[in-house]
Amino acid sequence: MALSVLLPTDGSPSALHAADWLNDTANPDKVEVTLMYVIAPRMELGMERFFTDARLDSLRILEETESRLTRHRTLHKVTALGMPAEEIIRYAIDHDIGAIVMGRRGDVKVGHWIGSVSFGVFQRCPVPVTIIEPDPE
Amino acid sequence: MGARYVVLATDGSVNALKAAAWVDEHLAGCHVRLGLVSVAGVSSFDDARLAHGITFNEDWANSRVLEEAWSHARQRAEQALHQTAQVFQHLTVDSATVLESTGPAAAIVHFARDHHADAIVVGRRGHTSIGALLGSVSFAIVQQSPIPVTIVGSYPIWDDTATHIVKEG
Repeated sequence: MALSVLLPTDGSPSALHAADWLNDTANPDKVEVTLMYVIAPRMELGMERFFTDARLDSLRILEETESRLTRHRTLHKVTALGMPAEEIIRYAIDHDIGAIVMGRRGDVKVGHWIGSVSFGVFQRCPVPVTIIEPDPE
Repeated sequence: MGARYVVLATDGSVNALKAAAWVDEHLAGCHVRLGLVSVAGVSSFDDARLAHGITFNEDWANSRVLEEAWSHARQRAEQALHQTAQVFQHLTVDSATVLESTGPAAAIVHFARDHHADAIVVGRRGHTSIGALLGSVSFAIVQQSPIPVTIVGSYPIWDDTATHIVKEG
């Protein structure tokens, strides 16, 4: 039975590096990948503009991330609206995700070390999480 | 490409054993080398004091007391390695190492780096975690590690059986 892997992405170098790592490391016969982009609400743009922009972003980012997965079949490309960590955890629980692979920091940083999203997922997620360091030595 | 080298850090706690079982299940049949590490450390005055029931006024830094505390810590670490090794049914354990350090996370990350490991696997919370707090060691490993880190384990608030979360296993 294939392991269902969730790869949350925001299109940042860190997220794309995580996709590369998954592509290099995971056996394509043993994993199936779901890509996820979470739109965080930003109402200052105005409703209509927000949704058009966000949808375009999400399509572009999901496609860019999928293009890194040359060896794997992508099962789903999901876009959610909400707080990223919450949505990632909820999706993982609701859809029997076996593992989450994510970059250590996206565009939004907390301190020097770890992104707010990966921190949120790290803190609360019942599913195994693999966190990929963006700049390997 | 040669075998991937995976380092599993364990303290013998329930979460560490769960992490071992997860590795055993999902890396079965993959080309991996598996190294177990466990950290023996006397992290503080409190450890030595609790282990020996000595009071604040006594010379706790007395070398004999500290040496005994270290010896206990080494025994615990070896026991943790032994327990963890028994979990594996599909994979063979290539090495089991006790690291002596007062900083578990740094010791694990250094070990992984020195041995050119490809990934670290760790349980979310070990013996010393309190309640719903996240595992301080696993978090420190994520912060310091230059290589991918997989954290396995459940979140205690969602675990109905977690009436004994201060000390498991």
